Amino acid sequence: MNKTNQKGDLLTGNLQEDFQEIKNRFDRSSDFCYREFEINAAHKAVILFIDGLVNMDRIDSNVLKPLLTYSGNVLQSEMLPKEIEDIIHSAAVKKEESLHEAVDRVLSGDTLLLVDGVKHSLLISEKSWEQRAIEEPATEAVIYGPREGFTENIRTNTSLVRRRLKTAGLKLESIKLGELSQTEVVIAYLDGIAEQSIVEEVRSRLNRVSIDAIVDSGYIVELIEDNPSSVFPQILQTERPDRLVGNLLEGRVGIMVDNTPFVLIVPITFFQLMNATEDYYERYILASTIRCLRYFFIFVALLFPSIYIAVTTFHQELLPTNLLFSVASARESVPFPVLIAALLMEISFEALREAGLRLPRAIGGTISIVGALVIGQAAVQAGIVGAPLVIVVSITGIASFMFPSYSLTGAIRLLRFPMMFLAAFLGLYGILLGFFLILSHLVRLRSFGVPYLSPLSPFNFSDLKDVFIRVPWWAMNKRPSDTGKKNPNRMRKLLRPHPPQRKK
Amino acid sequence: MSPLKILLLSAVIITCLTGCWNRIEINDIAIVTATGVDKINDKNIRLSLQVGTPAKFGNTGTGGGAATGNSTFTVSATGETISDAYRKIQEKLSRRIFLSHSRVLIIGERLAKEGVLFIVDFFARYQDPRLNSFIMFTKGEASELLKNKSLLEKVPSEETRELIKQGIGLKVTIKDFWDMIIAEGIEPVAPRFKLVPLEATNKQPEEESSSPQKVQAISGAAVFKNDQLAGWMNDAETRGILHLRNELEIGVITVNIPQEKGGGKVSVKMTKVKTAFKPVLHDGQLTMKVTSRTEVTVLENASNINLGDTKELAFLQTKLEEDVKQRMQIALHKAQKQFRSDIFGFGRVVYRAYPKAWNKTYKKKWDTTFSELEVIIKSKVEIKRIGLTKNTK
Repeated sequence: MNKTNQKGDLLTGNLQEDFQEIKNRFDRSSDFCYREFEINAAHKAVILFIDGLVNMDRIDSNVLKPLLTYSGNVLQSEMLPKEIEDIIHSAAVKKEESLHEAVDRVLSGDTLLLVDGVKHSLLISEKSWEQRAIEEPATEAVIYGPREGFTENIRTNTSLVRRRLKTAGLKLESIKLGELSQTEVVIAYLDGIAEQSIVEEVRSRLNRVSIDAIVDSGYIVELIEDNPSSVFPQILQTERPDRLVGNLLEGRVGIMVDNTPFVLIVPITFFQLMNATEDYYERYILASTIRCLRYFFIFVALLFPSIYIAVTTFHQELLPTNLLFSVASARESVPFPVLIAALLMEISFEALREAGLRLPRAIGGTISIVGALVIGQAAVQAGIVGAPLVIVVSITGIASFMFPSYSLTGAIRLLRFPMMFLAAFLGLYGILLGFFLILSHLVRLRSFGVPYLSPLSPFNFSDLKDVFIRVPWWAMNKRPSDTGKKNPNRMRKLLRPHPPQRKK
Repeated sequence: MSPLKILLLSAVIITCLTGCWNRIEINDIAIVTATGVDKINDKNIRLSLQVGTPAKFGNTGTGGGAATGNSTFTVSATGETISDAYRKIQEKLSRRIFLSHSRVLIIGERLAKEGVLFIVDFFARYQDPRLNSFIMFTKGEASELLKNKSLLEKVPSEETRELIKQGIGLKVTIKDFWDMIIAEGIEPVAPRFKLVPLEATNKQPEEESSSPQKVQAISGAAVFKNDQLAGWMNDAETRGILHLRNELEIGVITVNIPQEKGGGKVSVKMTKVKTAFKPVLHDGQLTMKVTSRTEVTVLENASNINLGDTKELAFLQTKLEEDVKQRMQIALHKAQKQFRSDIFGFGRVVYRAYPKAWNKTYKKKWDTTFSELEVIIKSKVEIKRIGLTKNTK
């Protein structure tokens, strides 16, 4: 937030005073650079910038060179500012009268030009710094689809979005958040499609944030979420521009944060978290099948260990007799009750997964595979756990990797453990109770006003076309009604391609 | 404390208060695979349970999993009722008896003659055992038969169960049996279980030096009146019962071809059998019309008939029809004259067709009416396929 410094905020016009003031502020900063010179041997001037944030070549050629070689008439004070502005060859030049603002802009990479006798300064934008190139996003790799991902530079990110939505209706409102970080946060939405109430809500929530620094968009997530205590994420974080654009087209609002490639999308539903971008680019039959598989695997990832525990300790009559014999024979050598063995395996699995993240790339992958295999096999041979349990845990682990959203994976992984405890105490009834609790929580959850389980929870049949299956593109002629009611029609009806009919 | 905290705390405490409910680990249960009930003396019955030993089941070798030794053992105890004997068996076992996986129930002859309804009551009332386990009877002692080792399957009762499911003999679950006891107009019938030598020899039984290896077989049927055993039927008669009850799934008919036509035999396989009977009440006289339709395919032609000739085929068809009719008549005759027990469900059909007449006259004396009932059997056989060769000659 901008706080106007009441005392001594304006530049005086006296070069020595202003320059001294600014130098005091940048005391003990080794990358603060300045050059004092004279314009046409008559007017003293100084140019200030932060080394590392500016493009030195351009400063030299567009700013300093014209100023130093200016050989026009000695000018009167009133005309001086305009003349200087005309000399400078840069495109982005701005007048600034506030000292505080000028210092802020210098910190953002602008170059400051102070001329003796002129009450305002000139800010010249010739920013350039080292940054990561646009690469394929690490967390959301796809087979089909563009391989561009957001980077840490917000200007690059906005340009990626602009390239995909070449309409003036794409609005990018900028806010600065964080006292010390002054992070630029951009609210992106499509005017005419996004609901004004949601945009207004986003604006008000962001303006409410008063924090010392925003280091990553994750900070903002917890500060503006409807229910940060829930395990389920109510804000989507993505690294892909095409995903952001797709969501903007459905009436959602994107929040881009400087210095992080992760863009936030609000409001979302549970089913948005389960949709992968690839689903929209592949052909619809395959995409629908894989989606259904994904939904099935939610239950596997959440409930498989619990069901195993419940059935083998409370409901042995549910197992087919031959299966019961196999499980029983595997259990013979195991000293622990099933809950303890399951917890042991699950916790080791989680530890393995976490450790795999910390290891360097070269050995990280091998360790997790070898670790899982060897530990599982060794544990079975040592008689600590039974072989069926290793299978259950592995399948659960694989299932939990199936979700496109990392935060949802985290939620499911976490919820597994209370379910296991419930299953161990209360059997299938406990699983049912736990499931109902989770479900009731999900139904109550809202993301910026949109119920979390729509279109299933407030039931809307036409919106189901993109939930469990994905209807072909020629059938998606309406936007989802939870966010896109303002401008519902997306495309012409009956766009389905077909061979030409023979005329009768 | 906020309401949420109180709620959370109580939820955790209450969950632990249940005290693990009825939780029992798999290696603390004794999995019963088959049950047998016998009569020991006038007062007591003997309950035998075939219990599986999980240590011997494992086929996933972690080094162990030896296939030697029995995968099951039999434990039995006597008591006044089944539950009494059940408790006495628990004294001998280190694990809790778990009846939910008991696949078959075998009952000995001596007990069957006195009435088996109380056994069915136990199975129906207690939650553990399953009503869809198969029931069968044996001439000897049930506990002897439970000791038999299995050849093909993991557990002997699995073998028994698969044997019944083949459909060669009768297939009766406890629920079916119970239905037949309670219902009017039908009497229970169940398959007979026995041990037969694995290989067929032409030695006399007394000449065999060592006991031959025996294997389980379902052969024959036990006929009941109410819940008491009336008598046994042999293999051939059982086939007739199956035919009449419309429960025949697979079977082979072999007919003799008379000398005039060349002699020899022909075997056919029955693929589809449908039997229906209809009562006809005329002038106070009840007759039962049985129509049976069988579709067969020729399996083996060991005669001189040319199957390519339609007239010969028609002749074969007539011979088959006679054979089928005779099968049914044998079974019918024995049930009517010897046992006087309506195991086919004629009474039920009469009730459905003529309820008033049933309630007035026939219900009370169905036994006598049934044994004198005139049954007209009409059998039709269709030869659907004769194979790929017309004539091997």
